[in-house]
Amino acid sequence: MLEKGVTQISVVSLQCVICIPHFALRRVHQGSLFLPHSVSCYLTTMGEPPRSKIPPILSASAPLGTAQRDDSWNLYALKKARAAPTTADKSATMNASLRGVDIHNTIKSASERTVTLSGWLEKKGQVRWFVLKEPAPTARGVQLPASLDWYRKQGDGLPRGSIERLPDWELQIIGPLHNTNVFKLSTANNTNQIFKTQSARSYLLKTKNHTELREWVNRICAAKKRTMISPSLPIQFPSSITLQMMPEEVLFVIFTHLNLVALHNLGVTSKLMWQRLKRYTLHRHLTNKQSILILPANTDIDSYIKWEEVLQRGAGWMSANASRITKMMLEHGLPDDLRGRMWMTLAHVHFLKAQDPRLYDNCLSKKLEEEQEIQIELDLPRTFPEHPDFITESGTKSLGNVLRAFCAYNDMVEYAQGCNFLAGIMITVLDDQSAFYLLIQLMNNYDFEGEEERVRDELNGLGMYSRGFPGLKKKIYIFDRLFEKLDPVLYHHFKAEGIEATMFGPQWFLTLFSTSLPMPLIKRIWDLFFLQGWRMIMSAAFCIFRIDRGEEKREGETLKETESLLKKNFEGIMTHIREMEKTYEDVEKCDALLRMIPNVSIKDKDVIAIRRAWELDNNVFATMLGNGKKK
Amino acid sequence: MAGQMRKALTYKLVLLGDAGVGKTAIAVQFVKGQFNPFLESTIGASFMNQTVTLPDETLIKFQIWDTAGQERFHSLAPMYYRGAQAAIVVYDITNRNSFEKAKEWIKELQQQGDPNVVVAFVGNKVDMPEARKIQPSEGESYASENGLFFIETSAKTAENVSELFMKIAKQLPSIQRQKDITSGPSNPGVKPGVGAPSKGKGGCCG
Repeated sequence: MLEKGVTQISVVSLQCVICIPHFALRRVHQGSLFLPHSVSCYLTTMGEPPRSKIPPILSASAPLGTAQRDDSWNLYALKKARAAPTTADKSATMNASLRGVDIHNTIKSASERTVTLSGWLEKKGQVRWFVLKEPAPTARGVQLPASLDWYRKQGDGLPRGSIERLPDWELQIIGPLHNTNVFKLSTANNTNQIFKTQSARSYLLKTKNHTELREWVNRICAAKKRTMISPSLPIQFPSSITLQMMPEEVLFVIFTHLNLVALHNLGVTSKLMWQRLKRYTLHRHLTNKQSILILPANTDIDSYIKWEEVLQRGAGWMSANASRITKMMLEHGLPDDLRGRMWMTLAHVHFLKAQDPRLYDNCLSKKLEEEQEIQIELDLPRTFPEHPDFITESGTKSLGNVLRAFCAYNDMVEYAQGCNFLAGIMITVLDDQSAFYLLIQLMNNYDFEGEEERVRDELNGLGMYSRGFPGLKKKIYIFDRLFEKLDPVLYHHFKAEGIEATMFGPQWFLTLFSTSLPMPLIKRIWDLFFLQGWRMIMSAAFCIFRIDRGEEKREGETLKETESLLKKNFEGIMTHIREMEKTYEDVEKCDALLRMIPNVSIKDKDVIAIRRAWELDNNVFATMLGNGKKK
Repeated sequence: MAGQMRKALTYKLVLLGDAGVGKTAIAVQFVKGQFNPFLESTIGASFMNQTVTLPDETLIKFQIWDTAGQERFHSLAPMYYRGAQAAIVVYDITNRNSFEKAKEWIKELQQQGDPNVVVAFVGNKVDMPEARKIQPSEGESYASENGLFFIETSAKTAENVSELFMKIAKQLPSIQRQKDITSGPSNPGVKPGVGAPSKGKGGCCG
């Protein structure tokens, strides 16, 4: 039974779902907050949702359930603050936390005759955002900014004002429809307002640009076998009112994509509170089994929380505690959901983004030379052609964008084959824009390019991808010498069989194993790489041989093709290298390899000595090849 | 396993040519007898091996180095063609630019490589006659001017792929016997023609 007078379902409320991340976003532009990759998606969809995207059933004035007064919902609205708080209730707390901020007056949205009320409803931890548009300025109560556009136009997008309970407004629940709850809100002198909230889920399903979140939605659909864990938003903290404001879906987004810093910036200011909130809420968030957060069934929740905490501490702390983090990476593994953020944090992507948030778009709009364009087009279908992310057109399109933008950005590297695989791996955990920034940081800070050598890490070197591959040659040389030092017996066996580091080095080092190992293992090696740099790649390359080294050949024993590399001949070793992708499908073998990697003892003094030899004689590389070519 | 270790003459062969002309596809067609339109781009170089049997029952084992095609990888190519006894320079018959690149490769091989290296000049993708830009006569005449042998192939339909390698194989032993050189560095114990079992047609040792 439809309530009389119900004529309008405001689609404006679709936007509130994405309000919260937007608040945090303001800080991003001020350069003080790590910009989560998902936020960039929001920016692009911030306007009013186009009509065509509204589900038909909503745009039709369909009767939606039965109307019923429901006083169990508390209605809150944002209200501008006028004076210092005098009571210790929720509103006072919120007010206090926002005190000192310039307060805006009544806001009218685009249409002069429209008045907007925004706020939220809360019931036992469930929260619904709403934005209510009235056709005529008759609403009593508070008038506040409605749409994201409004926030965007302001100097600082934080919602200013106090939180006020509005007892003179009544709430009626019209009924649930699919993922949409439809409420009716009325006051004594105005009975004609309808608003609804729509869950993020159905909104996102209609929104093309939210690739990442759509993926999440799809995962929910496919999650029958997975553990469903969710936030029911226990509102336990005096200052956690901001949490209360968030629909659970948004909370999910914040926890998994924005990170807890965003929450912090939403108004939870006390450091102690922050710590408590972080632990407690996240724990509740993860252990309450009522709805939304989806984690793979085998996710270790404690480890998930631990990683969240580690991420909060930032790259500096992680580098200072590299051995501890490495141990965590090996023991617990990094949850896939957090991997993109971890790489970006370790690679300091946020600095770059804060410096120039428009960089990606600017680069993307530049026109490339025809030769580069052709080469990129040629390689798109040849990058992980069997990986599900790249079977679809959207996957290769993202990859193409990243490569084109990078090519335009960097005239020293431009587009070089191999970058496609690096970017490809990144695309599997990040959106295009973030992958672009990460690729730049990978090239800059991990020395794939550039003329200057870094002093900090002796393993770094000249540009890996710049013309002539000077950095690659140097890496191969360093690896060759280290290999000899670390395992002379195996090394000389390789030499005797005619195996040179140049036979596998370019592939391994240019793509950081992307073309040589199964993707899950590559990602775990990259975790170590982003934390500790080239040392880990060198160690991994060594361990790949070391792990299958086997025992030395005994006197009189004939050459056999066994698993032991020491007993393999040229072709056996080359085949072993070529088939790594298959042999490392064995998870136990991957674990064994990973455990070995940090334990390889690469001594600084050895590396320095090798590098000196390289610097003194540019021909050492050629000499090395010459020596290897016995016969 | 030891039974498979038949004695064979081992030769190093390198595939050169512009990006996307089908170097990897030719090698995969030859080694595995398959065509996959979605091969990954080759970075640096990759290694494969395959054995063929000549009519006189000589076993020829190819150690194939498949190289990256992009211009910038050119500077790494010497690492792979050095010491090769055979080279296949591939162009795409539907792409004029790749033909010019192939000529550059030939020049480079003539200047830098071993003068005795057997070079095949190969026009690939004959399964696309409607898009053809390079006539067979053009490839043919360039090849004969430079003393190369010429063949057009299709890695997709396998047309002429095994013929290509057979032709190379036939040219190899004669050169090598003349020079009285033993097999490649990888099989120090194997000498040409010594004790090669006369049964078995081809077959892969990889």
